[in-house]
Amino acid sequence: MAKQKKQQLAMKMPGGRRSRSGGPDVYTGLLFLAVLVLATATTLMYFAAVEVSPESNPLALQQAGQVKLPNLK
Amino acid sequence: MHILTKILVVFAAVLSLALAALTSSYAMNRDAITEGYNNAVADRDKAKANYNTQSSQFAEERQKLQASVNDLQDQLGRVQNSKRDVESQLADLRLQARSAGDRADSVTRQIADLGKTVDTQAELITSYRTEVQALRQESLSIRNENIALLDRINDLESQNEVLIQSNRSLQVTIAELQAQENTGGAVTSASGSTDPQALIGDLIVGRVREVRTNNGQQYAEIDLGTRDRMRENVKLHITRNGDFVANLVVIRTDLQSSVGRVDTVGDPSVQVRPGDMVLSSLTR
Repeated sequence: MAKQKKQQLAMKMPGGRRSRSGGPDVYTGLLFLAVLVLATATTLMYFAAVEVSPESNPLALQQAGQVKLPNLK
Repeated sequence: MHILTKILVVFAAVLSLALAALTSSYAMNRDAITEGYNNAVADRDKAKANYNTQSSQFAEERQKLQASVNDLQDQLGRVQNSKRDVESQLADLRLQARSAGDRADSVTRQIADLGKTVDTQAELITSYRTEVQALRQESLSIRNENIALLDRINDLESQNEVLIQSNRSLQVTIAELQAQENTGGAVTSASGSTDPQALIGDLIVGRVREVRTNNGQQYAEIDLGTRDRMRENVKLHITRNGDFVANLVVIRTDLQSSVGRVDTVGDPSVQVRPGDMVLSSLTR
């Protein structure tokens, strides 16, 4: 009886279940959410970087003393 | 690990790298832009300060220039007024000069006329001079003749005076002789008596010339003299407006005047005045 209860509690704890290979778990969901947030942030940052860039390339850098903002609306 | 999880991990890593690159670029550009903006703001502030300073200086200079412009305008106004006055004075002076020129011309003409007149008058003066010289010679000769005639007249007058005196003395002598003849020798002669004597003969009338008083005694000078038969100790009568005033006893005689002592007949208030009438007799 006591051994059976102990097995039931072990089943309820994270990672307590028996490892099952091949299926998405909670970490996958969390990663999915993180990827979504990162994608959103990257998109927003892309547009912000394009606005402050001297060219259409968001990675282009402004030269000192010659600030150009052709993409600023 | 599920394959989907692996794929998501890869995506997350890639997205993280892209986000890091974009963030770095954005940050650097942002810093550059911020620095440029700050520089621009500083330049703007500096330019604004310079603008304010220059504006104040410009305002002061403008005020000074405005004041100088006002002063110059005032000076210009005064100069224009003085110019106007000078122009009016110049016009007056031109008019005066023109009138003076006209007067000078007229004076020149008058001088020319006067020169002709002077020539004419010089000729007249020359002729008058010769005439005056002739007249002066004649006048001198006439004056000499006149002097000679005056000398002769004076001689004749002196002879006449002597003759008149002789005639009067003869008349006196005749009158005395006639009085002696009329009174039968009762009237005393002038030489023999000290009482005043009345003149006998025609009435003699004269005037008192002057009255003097000496120690309360009045003496009167009359215009009757020896040629009027006056002599010393002759008694005359002084009247005024037909009324008797006093008697007069002659004490000194001259040719044309006599001096006598006034006899007031006991009335000391009687005063003889010049102009009173002198009569030789009150009954004739």
